[in-house]
Amino acid sequence: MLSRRTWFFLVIAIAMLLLYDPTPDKYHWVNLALAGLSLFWFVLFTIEDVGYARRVRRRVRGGPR
Amino acid sequence: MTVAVLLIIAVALLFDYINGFHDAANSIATVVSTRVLTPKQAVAWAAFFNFAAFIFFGTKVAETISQVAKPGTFTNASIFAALIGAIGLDLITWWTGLPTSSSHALVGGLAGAAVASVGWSSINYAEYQKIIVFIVIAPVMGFLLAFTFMAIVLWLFHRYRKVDKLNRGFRRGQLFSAAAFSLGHGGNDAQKTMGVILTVLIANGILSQNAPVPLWVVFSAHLAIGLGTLFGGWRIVHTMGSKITKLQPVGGMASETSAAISLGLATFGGVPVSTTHTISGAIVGVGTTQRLSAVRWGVASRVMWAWVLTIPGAFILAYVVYIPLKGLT
Repeated sequence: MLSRRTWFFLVIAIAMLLLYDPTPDKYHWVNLALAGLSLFWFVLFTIEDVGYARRVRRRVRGGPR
Repeated sequence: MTVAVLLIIAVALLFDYINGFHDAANSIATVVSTRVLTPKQAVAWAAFFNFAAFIFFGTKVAETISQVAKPGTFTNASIFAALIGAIGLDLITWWTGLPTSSSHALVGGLAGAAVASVGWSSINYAEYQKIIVFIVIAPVMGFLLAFTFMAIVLWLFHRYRKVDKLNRGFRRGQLFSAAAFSLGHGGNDAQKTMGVILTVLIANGILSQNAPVPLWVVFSAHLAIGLGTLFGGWRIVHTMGSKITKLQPVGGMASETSAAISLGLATFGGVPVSTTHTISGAIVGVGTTQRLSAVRWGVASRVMWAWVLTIPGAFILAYVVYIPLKGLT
């Protein structure tokens, strides 16, 4: 149901969090900021994808748009 | 200063020149592909801001480069081998049209020469860890910032009907974003050469271990990279500007601004990052706002492989070059 783009942002967020440990302490904020930003886009695109899937389902059933 | 020191400084400045030559495309590809400037104008514009970067940035990246190996590791012969390894790899990738990182070629070359001369114990792993982690973080930062920038612009102007007027505005904006990116490029990349020259001066006892970078080193490194950009590398312009994704003026501006912010942050933090990685990530970010399939992933993955192989490639070249020089100091 979720698009490739949506998954892509989740993968980036996970990658940034996985890199948290090897990143020197001084730069941890970079990992967190980038993971936060990708999660933000992941949530936004998830909402969009779910909404789109619902609209399509309704249209297929012939219900109200 | 001995002849050997002068020769190595000349080779380091040649590396800087080639760095500008090799990476010129990164600074001007988007501004040329969106036809905001002609190639000649773009090159002059980028070269000027590459040079002017010395006014804005400190020398933290240079200090990081000079600390990639433990004190006392480098000799004139090993620094020479590192530079030849990095230049060799740069020229090979330039010839094949791959936008690899001159910075990582240098870091790989320094590691190869250090291991060949002293062994694995000479490597300062903490510095390498920082550099390697940012190989991943820098393009991701460019990607996310460019994507967010583009999304905000699209959201703000999606109802705006005067597209021509809007494009004119973004074209003008691209002049500033290209300048900002060239500043970031000059700031981060020229400092890598400063780091090498600093290492040579320390290795020969001309400077003490924690000495600041002399002004003539700062000035000559920026001059060399500016001149390199002026005679820029056209093979890579094509890959960067049009092969990864097609760019409009707004996309060019978004990618350059985001890459400039990423490079500026890294430079102030003392992290040597790749300008090539950062702008490539930003261009992919702009392409992704259309849809993921707008990005030509085949080209992007070819670029990624080149990135992965840069450090080991330069490492091996520098290692091999050092072997016949072993007897020299």
